[in-house]
Amino acid sequence: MSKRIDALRAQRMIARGAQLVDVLPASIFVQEHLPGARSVPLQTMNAAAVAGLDRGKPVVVYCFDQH
Amino acid sequence: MSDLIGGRAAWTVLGLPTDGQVGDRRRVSAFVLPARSVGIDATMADVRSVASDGRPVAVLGEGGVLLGVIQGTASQLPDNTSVESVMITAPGTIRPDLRVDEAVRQVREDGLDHVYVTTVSGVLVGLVIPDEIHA
Repeated sequence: MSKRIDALRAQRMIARGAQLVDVLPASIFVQEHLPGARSVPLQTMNAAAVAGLDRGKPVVVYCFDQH
Repeated sequence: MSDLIGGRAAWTVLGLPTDGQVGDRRRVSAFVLPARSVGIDATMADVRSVASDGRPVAVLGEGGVLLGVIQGTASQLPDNTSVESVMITAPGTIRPDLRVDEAVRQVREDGLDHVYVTTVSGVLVGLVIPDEIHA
């Protein structure tokens, strides 16, 4: 179950060690992404792609805008 | 897991930092000027009361949604002319999170000297005048 948060809350969570996941296509990620984000394009997301995430830390996921 | 509302756009529109290959990451939101506006029920007399210098006036509907624009060329119309009958509908707009270099390129390609900035739901934020954006 995910919780929806605004950018300022995300910024605070990231400062406290939350992991950041960018689900945009890799070509978009290369152009611009949030500092420290890990690229996991939605089309390629599976258990293996997120295996490197630390289960003990919060995860913030983002795409481009509304969806 | 947390889902960032508004995604990357919500982050960049606040001027928060990003990484990547894009050079100039400044956003339109940092250069938005207040826009003169009237409601959809207004008349040309109302337009003149908010702008007597020939600058464009935005026409807003419910909730501040941009519906059209009255250009300076309409300034000679009679006072009782309704703005709804003479406005240019659905003017081109850009979003606040658009990069400044991209916005300037778009406006110049379209041969305009200004462009309105709205939210994704069409609510007017203001306007950007490329000639007033300084490097």
